[in-house]
Amino acid sequence: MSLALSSPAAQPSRTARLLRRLRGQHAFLVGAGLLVLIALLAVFAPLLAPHDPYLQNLAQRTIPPVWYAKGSWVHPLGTDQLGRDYLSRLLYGARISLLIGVSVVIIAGLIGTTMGLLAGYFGGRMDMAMTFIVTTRLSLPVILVALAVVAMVGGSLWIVILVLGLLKWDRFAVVMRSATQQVRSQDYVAAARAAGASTAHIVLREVLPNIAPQLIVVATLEAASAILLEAALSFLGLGVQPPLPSWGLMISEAKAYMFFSFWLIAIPGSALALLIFAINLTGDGLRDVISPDGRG
Amino acid sequence: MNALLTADALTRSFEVGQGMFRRRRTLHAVNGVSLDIRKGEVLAIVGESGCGKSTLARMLLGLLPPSAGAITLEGRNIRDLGHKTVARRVQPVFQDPYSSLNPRRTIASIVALPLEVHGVGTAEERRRKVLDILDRVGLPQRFADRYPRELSGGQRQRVAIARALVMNPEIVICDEPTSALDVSVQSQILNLLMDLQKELGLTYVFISHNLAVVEHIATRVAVMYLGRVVELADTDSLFRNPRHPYTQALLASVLTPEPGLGLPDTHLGVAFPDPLNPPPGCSFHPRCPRRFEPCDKVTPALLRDAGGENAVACHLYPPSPANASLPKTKN
Repeated sequence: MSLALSSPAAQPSRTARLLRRLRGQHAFLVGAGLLVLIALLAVFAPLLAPHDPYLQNLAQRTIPPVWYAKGSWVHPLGTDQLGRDYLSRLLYGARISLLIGVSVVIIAGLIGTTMGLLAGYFGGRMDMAMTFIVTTRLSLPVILVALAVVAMVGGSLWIVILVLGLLKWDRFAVVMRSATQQVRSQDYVAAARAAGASTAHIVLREVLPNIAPQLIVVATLEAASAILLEAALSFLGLGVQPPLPSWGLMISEAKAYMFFSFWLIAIPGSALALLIFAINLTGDGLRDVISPDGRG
Repeated sequence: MNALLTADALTRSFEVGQGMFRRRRTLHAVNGVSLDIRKGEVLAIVGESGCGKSTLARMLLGLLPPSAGAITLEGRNIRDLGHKTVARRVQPVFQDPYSSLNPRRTIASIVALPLEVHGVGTAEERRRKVLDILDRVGLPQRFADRYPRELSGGQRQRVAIARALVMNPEIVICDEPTSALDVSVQSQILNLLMDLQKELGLTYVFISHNLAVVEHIATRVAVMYLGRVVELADTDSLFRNPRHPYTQALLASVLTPEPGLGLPDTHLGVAFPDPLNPPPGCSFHPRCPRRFEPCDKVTPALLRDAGGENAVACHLYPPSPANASLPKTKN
């Protein structure tokens, strides 16, 4: 008998161990904290927003935020070129950004992970076909295709989500493929097969949980990139259409006032940067927390 | 003679491609192997690295379809029996317990996997079965909800054995079950395997390159060289009276604990032949100290000796009229 067999060490619960591992992950805590905060602000936007984000008031155009001499607490972040309350628009804009990030990742993640799992697990012709499709997809520049599609069928929130979701699965496919190849050569996959498990069982219950850390990292990266792409499309006027308060659209609408009302660009720009920063920190931290080799 | 699992002229070849435009070449990992695995025995398969032991094991488990030949379980081809039926009766213990346990499942969930797959009992009954079998392989029940990374190599191998035994299989195929473990733990695992064999009436196919272990636990030994069985004998006669020159060299290569003796000389030279391009005739002849005229032209068949139990594939032991040939091996 080895020593560990006779040691009476009590078994801490899973949650306790997870919490212990989270302590010390400062970057992750900061990122996740920010992300949770932004998500809460977005969810409770209707309760938190001081004004209707769509209400125009031309008499009160481009009021500066409260920290300027002319600012007031009636509009803490000022108003935009149409007199709409900027804080309210910022809060509602967070909803759009998060909605896009999450929806695009779900669509792209489903497509890409399925392809990567199949190609990595079965190899051979399946792998060749998948590699060919990914190469084809990689030869299409996302922003150009998105522009063309939006120009053709017209821009709307759901069109943007769909287009980005159907274009951004390539990294999921590539990363999941190589992760699957690594896992499938492990003996526990052979043991599951020798136990009589079906292919579906092996792929979903043995392989998928073991490539989850990589999946999470890719998902966060892709969410951040989808949010930025939406901002870029909206900035070009081909994404979310006014009067919806998307952060990219807010920057776009403010560009004419850049030299006179700098905050109109700085505020949504900072919000965007902060959100991307939070997502990336969270993704990095999650990978460290979830991967089993680091646990213990 | 009651053969439980039979390999009949089993061959497995792999296409080895070296780049897109080069000609693909065929590697015969296992080449015409015929073996009977009898109920209750421990059949050891020995040979140096790359001789096809593990490929043979994977075929016997039904994980790898043979290129030619057949595997029968009590007279029925395992291809026709279905994957689950074979899984119920033949189970593996792999070499590396660090790779054979899913790091994301608890010990209980790993051991319960075969029960789940075959839909045995309710969750509660399965749990009881798992705790029973953990007890049987010498693991305390409080390990059930731990993860593999919290266990040592020996403990992990016990978990792998528990998983193999939880469905009450008849045959356990152990692919070098102790070679990844510390020496001190190896004997514990071997003793556990032997105890379980007696208690549960198991049949083992025991793949190893550790001859001391084989002598200790096997009842019969098959010696493989370059994908073929070159000698098959009961353990006693193999170790007392090895007949094939390769078996003799293999036994001579066992390191002695005597410090002054140095490395034993096997007279084999260093030229391990290229399995992509095996030598003609007897594949062992380029290294054989006793080769003579027919060796580089005619492939010797695995022939039973007069007693009918042991067999050797070597021209030094010519067939006599009394000898019965085993099923002819393919060249």
